[in-house]
Amino acid sequence: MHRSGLIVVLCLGLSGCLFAEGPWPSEGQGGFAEYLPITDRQLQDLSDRLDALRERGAPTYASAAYAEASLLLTRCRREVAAGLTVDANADIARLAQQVEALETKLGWRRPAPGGLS
Amino acid sequence: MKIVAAILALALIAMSVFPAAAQGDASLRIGDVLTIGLPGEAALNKDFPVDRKGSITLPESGAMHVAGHSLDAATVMIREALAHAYRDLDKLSVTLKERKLPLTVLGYVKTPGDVELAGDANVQTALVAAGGINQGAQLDRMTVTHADGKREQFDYKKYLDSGDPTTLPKLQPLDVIFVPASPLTGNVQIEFDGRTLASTGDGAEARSAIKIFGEVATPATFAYRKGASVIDMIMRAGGVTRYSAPEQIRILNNNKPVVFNLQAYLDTGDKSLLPEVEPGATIYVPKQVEEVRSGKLTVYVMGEVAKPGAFDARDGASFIDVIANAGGPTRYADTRQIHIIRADGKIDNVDLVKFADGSGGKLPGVKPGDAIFVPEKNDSAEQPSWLKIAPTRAVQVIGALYKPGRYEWSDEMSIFDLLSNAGGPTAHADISHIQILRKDGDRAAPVTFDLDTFLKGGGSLKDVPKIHAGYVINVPELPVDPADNKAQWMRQGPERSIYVMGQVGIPGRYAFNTGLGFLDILTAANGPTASADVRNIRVAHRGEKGSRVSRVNLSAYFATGDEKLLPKLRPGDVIFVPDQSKNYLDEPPSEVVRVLGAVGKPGRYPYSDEMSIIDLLAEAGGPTADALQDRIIVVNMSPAQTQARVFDLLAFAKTGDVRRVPVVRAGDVIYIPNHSQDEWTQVAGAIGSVISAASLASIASTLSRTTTTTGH
Repeated sequence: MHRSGLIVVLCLGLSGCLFAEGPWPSEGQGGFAEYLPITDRQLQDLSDRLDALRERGAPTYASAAYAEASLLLTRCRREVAAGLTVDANADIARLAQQVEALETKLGWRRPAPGGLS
Repeated sequence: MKIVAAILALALIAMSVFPAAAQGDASLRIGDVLTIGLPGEAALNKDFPVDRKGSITLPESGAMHVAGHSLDAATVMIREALAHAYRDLDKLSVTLKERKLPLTVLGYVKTPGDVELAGDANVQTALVAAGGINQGAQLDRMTVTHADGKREQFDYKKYLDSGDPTTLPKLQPLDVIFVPASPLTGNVQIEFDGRTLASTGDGAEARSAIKIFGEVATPATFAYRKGASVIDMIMRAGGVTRYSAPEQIRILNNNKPVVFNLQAYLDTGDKSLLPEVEPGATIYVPKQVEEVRSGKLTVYVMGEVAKPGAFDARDGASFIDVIANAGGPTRYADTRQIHIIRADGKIDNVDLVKFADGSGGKLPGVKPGDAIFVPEKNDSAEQPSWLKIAPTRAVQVIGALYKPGRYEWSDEMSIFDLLSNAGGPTAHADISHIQILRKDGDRAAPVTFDLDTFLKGGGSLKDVPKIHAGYVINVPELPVDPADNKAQWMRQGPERSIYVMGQVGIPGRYAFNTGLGFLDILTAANGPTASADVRNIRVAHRGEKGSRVSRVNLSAYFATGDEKLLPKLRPGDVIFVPDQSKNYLDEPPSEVVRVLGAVGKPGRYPYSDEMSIIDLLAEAGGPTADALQDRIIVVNMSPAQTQARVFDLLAFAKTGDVRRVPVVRAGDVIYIPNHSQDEWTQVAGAIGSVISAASLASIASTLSRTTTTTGH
């Protein structure tokens, strides 16, 4: 009887400690991740490919698609930095698809991955 | 022998003596010339012509009539007369030096008048001396009037034919030859040429002359000749012409008509078929066409040929043979629609033009009894007789063309031929929606043909609809004024319209074809208005399987210039340009960021990944004075991973550390708390402390109780 009452009080106390420790969420980040270096390797690869496409004239020949992909890259970088990994993975997959489509459209295939490193 | 020789010698003597005797015997006449010789007398020794009174004029004694006397008698008379003036007349000689024939030629000769000829001259020399006969003289009825008034008629032509001098009258001095004019020369003096004159015939006497007229070479009146047959008379008139009907020659003998079948006579040679020709008969050779020809071998050609008529067609005669025999089609002939009306009533059509092109195949054969009809061409567009074109050969062209109407059709033509023949489409024609109403039996089905696209882009000619006779082709009209298209909206089918609604200059229904694009239509509608939300233009694609609406971000198009941002439109689609101040229900939460709390303008804000939380706060009017600027809360909404984060605006502003800015995406929520929330948290914090204290106290009491029980 006393033992159970003790556990209730302990739980309440511990939760109180937690509540008292911080009513605010932790500080967010990633809002300007496009100004920071890319940490994700897959994302870095896609970013390089987009840069290559830019060099090839994608902003001239497929401006809308290039702009959309660039924007999506920004979003992915932000999500990765913010730790929104599920959303980030989904968006990275979309970005990979768009970059692929752009490369096909401009008739250019990137060199084999081995050549990159 | 001696007797014979004696007779011959006598004969020779006689021949040498008698001519002189004969000369001496012949009596002197007017025109003779005597020579009176008397040596030494200058007044004599010269010629003394017998003048027109029959006298000679002697010197010293005067005129003396000698005509009618013999030369000897005249010599005695001269001697007697001269004896009064001359003494020695022993050496007087009177000789007949020459004979002359003074005549008068009158009538139809070149130079009528007196002529003096040699003594033995005949009519012919007289006519020559008068300059010859004029054209138009009647040769067989000349007359000679002798000095005694006796008149003699003779046939000079007969003399010319035979050369027999006995047919001509013996001429005496002072005879008058008269050459009459032919009655055919008429009463007016004109120049004749011999050929014309001869062709008019030689019949002089109306009573006996034979009159031939009708289809002969030279219809004329000809002199009757005994024993001449009808054939002779027709030959005299130059024969029958090619238009004559030789079976139906009519002869009027003594007012009694006889029909002579020359064809039958030539076919049989039966002389009994030749009728007599009596003096004054009339012969008429009728024209062929006046007779209805029909027969087992006859082919009839009618209409626009040079020589319509009936033709005898032997077996094996082709269509071309018959048409060529009829002189060929005239320039008015419609050679595409020649009809052959068969003997059994069946009708075949012949397209001669097609055959001449080499694309028509074989021409039909023509059998006796058939009739070929070559119709008149319907060429004049000004006054076309539309009834001439049967419905099975016509197409109807209506609508916006320069010359709509009913046109004759042939299947090798195309719709392009037809439209150009109809003057082409007008400026207001909508050639991208040409409607063709096909007829098949008693049913009709419409087809639309986009001529505009075909002309611009080309394509297989097999895709061009085939036109056949009986079809109706309509070229619709475009609305005159796009702003006024409501008045004519009935005339513009939905299949060639596009709909523009919302915030554009002139919303409405616009004529459209697939060659036009999104911007064409938007510009035609005078473009978006100032309040239009050009980022969210919606296009409803109708006429597809399922429904599809695409969103057009015109702003992005103007930022990038990428044509791929503009949708492909098809007739029937709807464009909606929304208003910027649209109902908030129209904006899905996934596309906006909701900004709540202590800001100047809380609300829902459209968001793009180019933006950041700083942009949002600026757009929402910034935090208010009592905002907890170091505790701005961002809720990242995500189906898998929703999380809340705090943004310390103050710290960011102070440090500029971009790492401390949270991520914001469309669909997220931003909440800016104020100081009252902060007090509340302080209260909550106090309560938390109380609870913590209580729990510590309870732990302490529990521990003390445990020690107490263990102490017992």
